[in-house]
Amino acid sequence: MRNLLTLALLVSILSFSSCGDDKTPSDTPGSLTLSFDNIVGDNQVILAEEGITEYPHTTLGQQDFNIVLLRYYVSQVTLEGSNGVAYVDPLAVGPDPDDVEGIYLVTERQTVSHNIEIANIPAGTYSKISFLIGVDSTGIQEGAAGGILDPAADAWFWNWNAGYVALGIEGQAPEATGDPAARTMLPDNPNSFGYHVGGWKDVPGSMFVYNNKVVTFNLSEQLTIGNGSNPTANITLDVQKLIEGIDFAEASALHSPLAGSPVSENIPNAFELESIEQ
Amino acid sequence: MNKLLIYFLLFTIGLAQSCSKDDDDTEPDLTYTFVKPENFPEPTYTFDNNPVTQEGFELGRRIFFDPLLSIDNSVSCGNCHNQAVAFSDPQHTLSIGVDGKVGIRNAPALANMAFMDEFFWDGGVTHLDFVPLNAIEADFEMGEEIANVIDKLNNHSEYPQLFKEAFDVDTINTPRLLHALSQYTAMMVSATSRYDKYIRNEGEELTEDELAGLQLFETKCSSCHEGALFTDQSYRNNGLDETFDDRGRATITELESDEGKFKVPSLRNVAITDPYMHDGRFFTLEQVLNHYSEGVWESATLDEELRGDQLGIPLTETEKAQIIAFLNTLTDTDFTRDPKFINPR
Ligand code: HEC
Ligand code: HEC
Repeated sequence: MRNLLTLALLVSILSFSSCGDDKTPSDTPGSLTLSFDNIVGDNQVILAEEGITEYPHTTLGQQDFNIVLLRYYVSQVTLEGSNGVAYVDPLAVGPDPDDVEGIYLVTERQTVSHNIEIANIPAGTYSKISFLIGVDSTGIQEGAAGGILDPAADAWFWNWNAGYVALGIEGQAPEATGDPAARTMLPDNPNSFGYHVGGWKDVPGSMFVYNNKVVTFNLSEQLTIGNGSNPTANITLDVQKLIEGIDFAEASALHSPLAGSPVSENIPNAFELESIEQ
Repeated sequence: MNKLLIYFLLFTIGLAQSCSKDDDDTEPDLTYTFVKPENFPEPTYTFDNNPVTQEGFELGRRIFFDPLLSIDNSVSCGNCHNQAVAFSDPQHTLSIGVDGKVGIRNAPALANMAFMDEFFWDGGVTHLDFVPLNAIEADFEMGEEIANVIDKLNNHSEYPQLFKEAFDVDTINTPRLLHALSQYTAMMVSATSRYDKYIRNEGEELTEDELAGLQLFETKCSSCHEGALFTDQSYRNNGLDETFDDRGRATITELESDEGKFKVPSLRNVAITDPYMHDGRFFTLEQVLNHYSEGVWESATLDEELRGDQLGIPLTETEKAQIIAFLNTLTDTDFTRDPKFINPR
């Protein structure tokens, strides 16, 4: 755990000492805030509760639905400079909530969780932002961890196929046929649906379905960070695109790596960079 | 860091032993130190993140035997994992949880957990820390929610103080609970059977039959039940069934080619860990050997090694008896009677 942290720091230090020219000793690091806004097509997500039969949202396949839960982990935030070197937000896990670094949880229900501040980014100009939706092997293979990785607190953990659920969406739809294992709805709710996207075992040579997905934004204009510049990137997640191609009548409960992969395949295109506030 | 400490301790023991025998005051007490047996591979457990201490171990032991973990205070880990039989469950084929609910698999023996890559018959759990979450939350085991367990512990008259002593924390959270349990289960090292003492040249001799059994085992069984752990930690179909009610490894990998495959179990202490197999279908080692010799079923995923000219592993009655004689040498009574694991209450 510590080793990884040190490694990440070293890599970033090495990377940045090599881009000498655009760096002076007086450079001060800056921060980047990723601001997530969850939408459905042209509309904001309107959260519903268990049992509510109003359906404010529509899929691209013209099925009505509402959303009771929407959450995802964001990690491995990476900034790539114009010269190709990258700064990776250091990752660390441990038993105390404060030990967990570099892994974030965005929950529709908690507005504060929508803004993720990546601090201490070396001053420079960057042309690419990327992040992972999900928690990769380090978050699991270093053992039990606290805070947003604590299943008694905020974490969403699969006990049977140990790992964190990268992204989950639950709600109700007239066409849905009920998901008895939904996290936020009663087991006998006849119109619930639950899509739990997990599966992180990216073992070379194995055939596990890997559902953590990298989202990448190539920037049209250089992004300047540091020396007083602490920009915000406004990012949307469009639920219409996230569940594109999925029919509630055919899929009300997606709870395994293989079952969740159609949703996971949509992740890279469902996120969009709307604007950057310098 | 931790490893260094162990090497240092081992080194000093070595020194202490080589100078004078009666000077045993200087021998450090390794009761609460994880020590890798000489004939074992490197451990997989992340001791750096959760170093074993006496306080942490004893806390883990207390929790292991505390039914507070279950929804109605009726079932503890110890109900299904009994030290006298190497932490297996001698009574049930499929495990039994709260309200007498029947589980889906046989509770395996627990030994040498710190050396395993993956856990459970299907390998669904990849780190020892996360194993107890299944037992606590499965409705057919303890049927309780982890958040309630943490509340019960934080509101308990003694646990907050015990966690403070073990981990220097004011609030109990899931990782601390899991770390305490792992300190207890990771220390379950079984490496002092007669077989170990023979293999490490510690003055133990095996009988002729046992030696013949060992040889047979090495040619017929050890390709799967391999090495000091007696498992190569792979997933295989050893021909128990033609069709599969329990998909086994395929539950996790979702591959048709893994249907009916289960983790090759360790055979340490096997003479006392009946009933056998993932569903506890066999009650004696004779039945197990009859299975390999005469009872193997054909199916698409049957292991290649069991498909010779004749299905299975043909054995004469003498060979079966010799293999069983050898398997009996794997029973480690130092482990099953080790006072440090015993429920203190
Ligand atoms: C109701 C019976 C039951 C209870 C209670 C129970 N277990 Fe188990 N345990 C099992 C079964 C059954 C398995 C195998 C599960 C599987 O393969 O799907 C198992 C597997 C394990 C394993 C993995 C063994 C291996 O070789 O993969 C460990 C470690 C373990 N249990 C520890 C615990 C701890 C710690 C507790 C208490 C928190 C506990 N168990 C409570 C029945 C139980
Ligand atoms: C092809 C690999 C393979 C070979 C060869 C093999 N086994 Fe197994 N063995 C397994 C697997 C896999 C299981 C678990 C099967 C299950 O429960 O579905 C198992 C289970 C067992 C068990 C039950 C252990 C328990 O705790 O439930 C015993 C005992 C055993 N084997 C003994 C032997 C002996 C003795 C031999 C040699 C004659 C042998 N095995 C050869 C793969 C193998």
